[in-house]
Order: sequence, then C-alpha cells, then structure tokens
Amino acid sequence: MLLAPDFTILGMNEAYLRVTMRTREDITGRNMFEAFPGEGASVEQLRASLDRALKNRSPDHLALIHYDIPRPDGNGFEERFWSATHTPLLDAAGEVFCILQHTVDVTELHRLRMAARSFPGAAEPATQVEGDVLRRAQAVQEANLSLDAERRHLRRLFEQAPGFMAVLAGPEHRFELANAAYLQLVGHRDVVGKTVREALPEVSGQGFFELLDNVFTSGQPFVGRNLRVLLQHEPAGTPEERFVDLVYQPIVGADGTVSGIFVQGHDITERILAEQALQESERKFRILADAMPQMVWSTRADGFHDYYNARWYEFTGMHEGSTDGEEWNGMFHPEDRDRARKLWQHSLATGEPYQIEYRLRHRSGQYRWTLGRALPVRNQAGEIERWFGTCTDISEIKEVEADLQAANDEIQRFAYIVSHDLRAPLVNIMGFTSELEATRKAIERYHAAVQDRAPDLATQEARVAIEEDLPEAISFIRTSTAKMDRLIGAILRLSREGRRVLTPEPVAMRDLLAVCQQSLRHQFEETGAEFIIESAPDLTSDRLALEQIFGNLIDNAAKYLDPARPGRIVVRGDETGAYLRYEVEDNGRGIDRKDFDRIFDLFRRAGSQDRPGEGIGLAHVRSLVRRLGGAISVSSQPGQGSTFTVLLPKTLHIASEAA
Amino acid sequence: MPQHQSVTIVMVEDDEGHARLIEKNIRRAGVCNEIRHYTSGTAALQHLLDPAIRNGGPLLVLLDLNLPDMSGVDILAQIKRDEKLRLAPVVVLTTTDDQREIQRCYDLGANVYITKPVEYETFSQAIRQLGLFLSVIQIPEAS
Repeated sequence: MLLAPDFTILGMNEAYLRVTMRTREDITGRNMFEAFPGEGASVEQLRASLDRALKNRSPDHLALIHYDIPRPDGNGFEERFWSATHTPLLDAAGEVFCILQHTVDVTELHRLRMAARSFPGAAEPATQVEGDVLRRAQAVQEANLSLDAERRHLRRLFEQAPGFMAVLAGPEHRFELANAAYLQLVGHRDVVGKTVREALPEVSGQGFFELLDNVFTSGQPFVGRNLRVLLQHEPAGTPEERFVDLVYQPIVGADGTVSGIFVQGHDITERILAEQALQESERKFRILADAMPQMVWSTRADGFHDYYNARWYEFTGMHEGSTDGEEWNGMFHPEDRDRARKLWQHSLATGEPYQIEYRLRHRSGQYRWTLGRALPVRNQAGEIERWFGTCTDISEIKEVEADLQAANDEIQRFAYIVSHDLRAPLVNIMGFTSELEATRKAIERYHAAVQDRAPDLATQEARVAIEEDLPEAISFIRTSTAKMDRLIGAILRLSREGRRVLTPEPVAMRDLLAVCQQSLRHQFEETGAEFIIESAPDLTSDRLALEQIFGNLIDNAAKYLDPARPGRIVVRGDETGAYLRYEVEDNGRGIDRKDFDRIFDLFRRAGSQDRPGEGIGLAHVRSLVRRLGGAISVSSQPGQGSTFTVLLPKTLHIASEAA
Repeated sequence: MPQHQSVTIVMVEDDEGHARLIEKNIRRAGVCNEIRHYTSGTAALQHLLDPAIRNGGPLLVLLDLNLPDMSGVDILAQIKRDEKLRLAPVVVLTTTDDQREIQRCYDLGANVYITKPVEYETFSQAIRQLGLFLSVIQIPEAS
C-alpha cells in the first residue's frame, strides 16, 4: 500500500485489499488512521513507525503489531496481528513523496503462540511452540527485510528504467506507480493515487482511456506504435504533441481476474520529429527540384541514379523510374555515351565535380545539347553520401555560340582581308613617294645647274619648294605610312593569333618565366632591376599563348619602371579552385585608375607617351587570356606600381574555349 | 640545240601602281624583256591558255595573289597543272607574309615568293634581284 506523507492512502494491491477485507474505492484517498481506526496503543505504535520512516528516510520495521480492523459487515472489529515494513520513497530532491507499506498478516501465528503459552502443564512444548512462533515471526521479519531490499532494488530499476512505466489499478485505472520517465512524459505532475481521467484530463477524447478500458475488460494486452498524444506539460499550457510506442499489459491475478494494467513504453517523439523533419526536408527538396527549370538528378554514393525530378521525365518523355541505375547513359547520343560514362566514373572514383556537355534525347526523339554537372555531398567524416546533379538544356546557347563563332570567324577574316587590302595602297604610297624623292633629286640637281649657269632664272620660291617643302612633305608621308604599316601589321597579328588553334600541353611555368626573364636580361642588367619568381604553379594550357601573355606583361613592367628607384618585378601564382591566379607586380610608375579599362583596348595607351609602342601588347594579352578561358585585371597606385592579375584555368579544355 | 628565244614576262597584277613600280624596277635592273600586264585573273589565264602562247616562247609569270576575280593561288594551280605552262617559272608577288600561304604556293610549284614590303628600298631590291634571277635561270625549252 502507498501512503502520502500525510498518511493519505494512495494505492494498494489486491493482496492488501484481500487481507484488510476492504475495497479500493472505500479506502483510496482516505487518511490511513481514518480508514482503519484503531485503539490507542496500536495507533501509536503504527504512527511511530511511520514517523520514523518519514524522519529517517529509511525503512522502518514493525515485527509485530496488534491492529484490529473493522469487519466489512460493520459488526465490530476483527482481531489481527501484523508484521509491517514502512519504506519511504524519495523524490529527485531527496524528499519523501510517499511511503510504501508492506504488511503481512501474522494473526494465525500470534494465536498459535498465545495458545502454546496458556497450555497448562506443558511448559516444554509450550515453550517449544512459542519458540517456533517467534522463529517464524523472526523469519517473517527477515523475509520482510529481504523482500524489502529486493523491492527497493526493483523499485530503483523501475524508477530509473529508460522507458516509461506505470501501474494502474482497478477499472478506473488509478495510478499506483509511475516512474520518472512516465512523469517526464506527462509533465511532472502528481499522478499516483489519481485515476487516469483525473490525472490526465487532456488525454480525454484521444482514445487512450477507451483502450485501457478495453484491456481491463478483455484481459487482452494492447500494443501500440507511433501513437500520437497531446499532453499538457504545464498546467493550462498548450497541449504538446508527443509520440509513443506503448504496451498496456493487463495484470491478472491468480483467480484470472484483471486487477490493473501495467503500462510500459517509450517516448519516440524525438525520433518521429527527426523523421518528420527529414520527410519535410525531402518534400521541400522535391518541390524545389520539381519547380526548377533544370533537370535534377541524384545518385547514391556508388553512382546509382535513384532520383530524377519532374522536369527530367518531362524532357525525356520517359516513365518514372525507367532511367534509374545505369539507364541514364542510354538517353545520351551514342557518340557521347562513352565519354560521359568515363567522365562520370572518374568523378565517382576521385570525388571531383562532374561537368560535361553532351546531347540528350528529347521526348521528340531529337538530341539536344545539354550541360551536365554534379557535385558530391559529403558527411561529417568527409565521405561522399550522395551526388546531386543537374542537366541544363543549352541547345539555344549552343546555337548562339555557333552564331557567335561564325560572326567571330567573319571578323577575323575581315580583319585579315582588310589588313591585306590596306597594305596594297601603302605599297604604292611608299613606292611612289620614293619615286618622288628620286624625281626631287633630279630637279634639285637641275635647279642647282640653273642657279649655276643662269642665276636669274633660279627663284627663291623654287629653291624652298625643292629643298625644304618637298623633303618635309615626303618625310611626313613616310613616317605616317610607316606608322600605318605597323598598325596594320598589329591587326594582322591579332587576327592571325585569333585563328591559331590552341594546343593544351603541360607547361612548367618556372621555365617559361625564366625564358621571359632571359629575353629581358640585357634590360634588367642595364637598369639594375630585380626579377623575382615567388611561386609558379604549373598548368596545362597553350604554351605559345602563355609565353606571349607573360612575355608582354613582364616586358611592360620592365618598360614602365620608374627610373627614380631600383626596379623590382615579382611574379607569383597560387591556386584558387580550378583556376590559377598569377600576379605580375612592379614598382614602376603606375597607371591612373581611369585608364584601367582603356589600357586593354587596341591602340590605346596610358600615361606619358615617352616609351615606344603602338598600344597593342595588352589588347593582345587580354584577347589571349580570354581565349585560354581566363580573365585579366589590373590594380595600381600611380607612382608606386602596378599589379596585373591573370586568372587562368588549371587545365585548358578546347571544348570550353571562349573563342 | 635549244633555240635562244627571249623570255616573255607575264605580269598578273590588278594594282596599276604596283605594276608600274614592278616594271620600273625591272627596267632599272637592266632587264629589257617584253612585259605583258594583265589586271585580272581571267584575262591572264585566257592569254596563257591560248595555244599560241602555250606552245610559244618561254614565259616567266609574275603573279599577285590578291586579284579581284579569283585567287592567284588558283591561277598558280592551273599553270602548274598544265603540262606545257608548268615549265614556266612563277614568281609570286604579294602583300601577304602568311607562312601558310607561302607554303601553299611553294607546294603548288611556285619558284619564288616575294612579299611586297611597304618599305620601298626592300621592294625595289627584291625586284632588281628578280632581274638577276631572270638572267641566271635556264628557261627550259617549251617543246
């Protein structure tokens, strides 16, 4: 029997009800001494034991107590002797929250003992009997103690069990016991002694009470999984959703009747919420993936395709699931299948991002150019868990690209033809200018002869024309033509460079830079300028283009050094993802910010025009860098120096050439 | 015994100025051979393929590649395909210094390739050397 610290009867088992001849309804909730009124000494003895148990917070044993109990028919009291143990049950704070009374009815033993004592003339046997009785009482008490220890052990196990547990008694399912996990589940409220309907009013209407009723009546256990229950954790708080797996196990007495229900289960809310979050996340992913204009797919770590979004099926016209596993490859143009499979295998083996252009079969049966990309998703340990990929229909881009290519080719041809055709008249201008010069010399000789033989015919005007004006005019024509020839030559070189087929090969950058340095060695020695290669990561690209890019940049750096201080040119490179970033830094005269863009334009130069040049070098460099799939930029402080930054792909792919 | 016939120079050049400059320099080099000037590929081919010319005296062809009606390369190919004409030395004179084009002309059988430089001294030098070339080469007999 369980007692509250104020000795209110909280609950009891069937055995207790049987020996006390009472019903649960009759005594539950009542004060112990009111439910079982007794005589002075007995009451004092019992109260003292209970007080000790409360005060010492340790079990207290009553080997023998005379405590009569009322007869159920109301006709007085029945004499009873008891052996009892009072075990205080402590809460988390160490306070007694109830007392477990374990009582054994020893009336028969006591009577026997008394009878033996009053048996005249038989002292020996009487003593014998009395000794037996006491021994038995002692045994009972020892049994009590050992039972008590065992019960406490069980109690601890019960209390500390990770699953929630409770014992419900009677048809109203009154809580006899509830462990910490159970209280945790229902929100730390006092449940022992209350019926489930009293203790958990908010559960009403959720079907659980009916299930308990059914178990109690039928004697059949109930096993439930993933049950949703709304519980009020705070008084008057909003009911919270919990999920439980539980068993209602009927407690069946020796007579086959159900006396209560053992409730045991697990709070699986966290797991369910995690599952729901996962499902929600997956649902969101699918909505997002389906909403995307791109085709999206995903594979297991081993590359097995197990997901495609709606757009994929819409594009390909295939049935859902029919392109799982290895079937994706069959959707590609026969000429692209092998290449794609190899590249995909390579990505799977190395974990490198997958990127490829291929022709994908549209539901119309046509193959359309598609850009395929995929990235691995890794777990905390860095292992690949899945691959997520996209396919982008780039057929329109491809068409535009082809148009652009055609337009670009046309411009190249145009530049080539124009530069040739411009040269032809220049040949004439230069040629006939020379002829003019030769003629002038003839006239000059003639004029000299005239002046010599008929000075009155020689005029000052003719002399100035022959000796000054004509040479001046001829000189201007020549310098202008020479300049025009250089410009045409530059356009021709650029247009030729643009038509040159790039051939990627592994390039040792340190060697390449050393060659650039070597060609400027004389200049460096003359001016005492330093040339430093800090770092030079290698790349796979077009060697000639790289020579021209770095040759031009280093040449420029050397050309525009400030004579006021010792020159210093530094080249350094480092990796940024699939790219290399190279810097050519100088401490030269610098470039004004407004000229940052201009210097890359053809025939445009910046700063004082005191160095030879046509404004071609950087235009050429930019066009080369772009052809190599890179980018170039400049930063500079006038009077302090400039840094040209060249970003180049580590590996030049001819297919990706931005021609 | 080979007959000693003087070589006729056939100049295919659409640019009148260039033609004049070439002629001037050839003459300056002391070459007095007849020069026939054609300003289009069609007219030049018509003349060259004329049986009287094909079977006639030795020829030297001065050929510009940049012609309005056809590419000089095509004329060169036609000349070198013709079993009679192919014996005539062909001097390609053009503004291009494109290595691929030069190579193509040599592959087709051009004997000399001269780039017309804008620098006149170099130009006249090259033409005068052509005169030298004319005087040393043995023009094989047409028959």
